[in-house]
Amino acid sequence: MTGAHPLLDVRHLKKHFRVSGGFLRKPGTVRAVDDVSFRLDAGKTLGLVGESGSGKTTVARLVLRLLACTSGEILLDGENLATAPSGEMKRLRRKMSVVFQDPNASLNPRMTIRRSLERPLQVNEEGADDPEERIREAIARVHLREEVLHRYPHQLSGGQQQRVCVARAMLLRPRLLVLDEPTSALDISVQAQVLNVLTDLQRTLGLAYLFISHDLHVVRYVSDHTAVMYLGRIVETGPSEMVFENALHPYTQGLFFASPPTSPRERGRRRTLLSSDPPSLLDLPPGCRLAPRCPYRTDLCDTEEPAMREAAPGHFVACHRIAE
Amino acid sequence: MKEIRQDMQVIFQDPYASLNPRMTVMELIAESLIVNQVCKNKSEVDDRVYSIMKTVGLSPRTVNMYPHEMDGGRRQRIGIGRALVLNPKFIVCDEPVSALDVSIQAQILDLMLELRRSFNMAMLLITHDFGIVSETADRVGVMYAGKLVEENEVFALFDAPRHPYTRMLMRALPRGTKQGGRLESIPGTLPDPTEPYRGCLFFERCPLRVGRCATEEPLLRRLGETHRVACWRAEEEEQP
Repeated sequence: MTGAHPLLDVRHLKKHFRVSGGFLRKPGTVRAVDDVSFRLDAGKTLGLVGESGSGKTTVARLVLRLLACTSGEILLDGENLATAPSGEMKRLRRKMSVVFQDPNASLNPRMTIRRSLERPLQVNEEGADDPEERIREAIARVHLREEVLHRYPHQLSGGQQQRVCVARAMLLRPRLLVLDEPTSALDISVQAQVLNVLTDLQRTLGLAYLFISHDLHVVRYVSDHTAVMYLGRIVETGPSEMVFENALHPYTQGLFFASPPTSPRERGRRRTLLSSDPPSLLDLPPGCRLAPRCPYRTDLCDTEEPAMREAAPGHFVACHRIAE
Repeated sequence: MKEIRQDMQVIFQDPYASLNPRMTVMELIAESLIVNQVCKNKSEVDDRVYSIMKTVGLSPRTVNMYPHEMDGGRRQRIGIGRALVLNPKFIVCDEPVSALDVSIQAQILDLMLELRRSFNMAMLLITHDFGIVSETADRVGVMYAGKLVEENEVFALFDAPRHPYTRMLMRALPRGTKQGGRLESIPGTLPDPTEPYRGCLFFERCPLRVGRCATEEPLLRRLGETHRVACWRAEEEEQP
């Protein structure tokens, strides 16, 4: 990612959870996020892809400081969120916002949509002069009609609810929006509505998106850059066209080969490259984390963890095969 | 009914909710054999359980494990094993891989296709995922608000959808990058199923609607040898 000062600069981020021992269970450490670095420029989208347990949601929560990191730096506009005193967080949080997967669970069922939208303004003592104007603007930006303001969440469809969540996230005019599987709970036709709204908002307001999803078609559609996570590490990252057209890491290749096609004409293209299931985060292999499942494994992979190398300008891959 | 049920079985979406957490793999799979009294003695039950476990790719070591000790992919294999142990002729799969990760999805889909061939079963696959449809189906039916609106052989359906709902769904799928243009979204929402209606259920959201659509419900009619559509304007070439 270019630019001298990216909006978000995450360096060597780690989050380790300690697991206490129990009956027939050894105590241990789960390295949910283990040395993750990435940058995100204003107005751009970084797609974060990975399967369950890869740590992508933990990264989102660390960036928002909903969780405290074990070590590392999270620089937002040059200010380190990881070490900022909690008194400063209220000010810093206004620069970033979040939309979660399940819109029905993230809206209070006992508040009208208007009430839900007033809350962030009240809490942050903003827009006191004309809150109504701010709320109308936010609702219009997500292509909803003002009638929805009087409704309760259960009276809206999933797509409308999710657009209310986007409007609420936009109210304080943040610079960074973290989107954690924002369309995974929605139908295809409604998913398209939400993706179009997000595209428009980014174009007009210059927002940066950290877009987390397990759906490769969606990530390819929205992202300028893509990072692929596997067991707490980024294994491949670069401009989306490079990562999708020329995937170099065996895990990325495995994910792409495994994803279903978009038309029956591509039937039979899919194949299984990765064997078995991922190992437990409590018991990681000593070398490359993918080694036990990798079709290209060599002795080196069993003993030494591959470092991130630049395979092409801007395209980074952590695999021993890239060394040559 | 009990006899007929032996020929038709079901695989559910959520392998976490569809298996009794207090039963082992052996008990879970053997249950349908015992309930249906298809085996003469215990050793025959054991034989059939072990053989079906092999068929669905479960190691014999896991036979005394409980579902919570296994990951989603293996649990779904138990679900498939339970369904197949009675050698059904027909199997209903209700979103069988929607709860699984992509790489596990691929393994389970491969297994299901393989078994469909070797058991020579008919399969009714219910899913919202067009990718899975394009991968597995021979024929596809598209439903909207409780009605079948279009049915065709899979290649023809993807190449030339005729119902406006099917067409719009196809164009709502993200393919490629943003540079490829905006996604088509279907305006509005599903009709309220408790409201009485006249005419076409898709009327409110349809870009092709004409006066007739508001008052007369289009019935499913035959358009080609394999093709059925419920739309008054399905024959017209000009469609947006």
